[in-house]
Amino acid sequence: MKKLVIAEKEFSSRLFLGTGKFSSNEVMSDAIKSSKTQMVTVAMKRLDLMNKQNDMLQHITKPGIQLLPNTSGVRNAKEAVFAAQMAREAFGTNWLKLEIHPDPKYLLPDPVETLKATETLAKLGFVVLPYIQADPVLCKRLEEVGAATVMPLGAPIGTNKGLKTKDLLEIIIKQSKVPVVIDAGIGAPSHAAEALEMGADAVLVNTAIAVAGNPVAMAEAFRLAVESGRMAFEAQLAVQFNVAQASSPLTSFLM
Amino acid sequence: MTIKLNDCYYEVEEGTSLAVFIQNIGLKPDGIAVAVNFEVVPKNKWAETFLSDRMELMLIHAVSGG
Repeated sequence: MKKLVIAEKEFSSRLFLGTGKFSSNEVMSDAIKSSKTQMVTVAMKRLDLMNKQNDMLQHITKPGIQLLPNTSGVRNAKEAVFAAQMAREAFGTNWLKLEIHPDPKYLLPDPVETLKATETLAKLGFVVLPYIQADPVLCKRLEEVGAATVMPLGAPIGTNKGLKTKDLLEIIIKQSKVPVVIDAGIGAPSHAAEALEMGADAVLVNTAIAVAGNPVAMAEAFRLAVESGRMAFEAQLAVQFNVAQASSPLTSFLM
Repeated sequence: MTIKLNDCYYEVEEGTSLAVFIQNIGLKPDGIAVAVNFEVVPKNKWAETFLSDRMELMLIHAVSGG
């Protein structure tokens, strides 16, 4: 299968994994392994010195895995730029999942602030992967100001509802010159397969794997679905029809 | 003199560098970042960044997140 290329870096896995909500670092680490992901997100928080330092980073810093720090918790472009600089210093990478969602109920991304921040961060040399609404116009604007990918949502974060924005995602995929990563809302391997079959370049999954009954097995299920979906896309799906198209001969048997 | 780090106050001696302070509170530089007044202080400047009275530091580290 064709490799995914983002900012001149090649990925053989098209499944990006979020690290939130796992029951333990060990389960998270095993899920990373079974997913065969090469891109793993990490968030940042002010250190609480009363509590011991969390060692989650050592569970995700592995050869062949690109760390993708996110800017969760910021409310505007200015804060996002600061968070990006902190992330670069802490984790030694200029890759960034830009997410600006000031509204705590629906966690929907702010398109205006995201566009502003993307432009600034791209100029500062960051590889910016912005999390955004499934808005085809915004996606083109982000591409123009230097986004490395666009990451439109299928449904709000953590809802597991799948590709509710499918019609818009199709337009985004058709128009985009940068990779399209479907982020948020993917709740089942079938959703991920659907995204890849449509021509999405990758998916980012977190909740659906982390809170599954068996996260390690679910990570593998997602891996297979993503590979299957991509393989189907490259093999070119058969065309849909509104009336039956016979697949067996209808003559020369009884008559 | 007193400095503030995240939400905690610390008494430090005059002339303490950021590098020494981080070491004294038992932290390693890997996986953390420090800012003073929302300006990131790169790790290679920690040794030459000296704390001053009422300085406010922000220190972040990695946590799980999607």
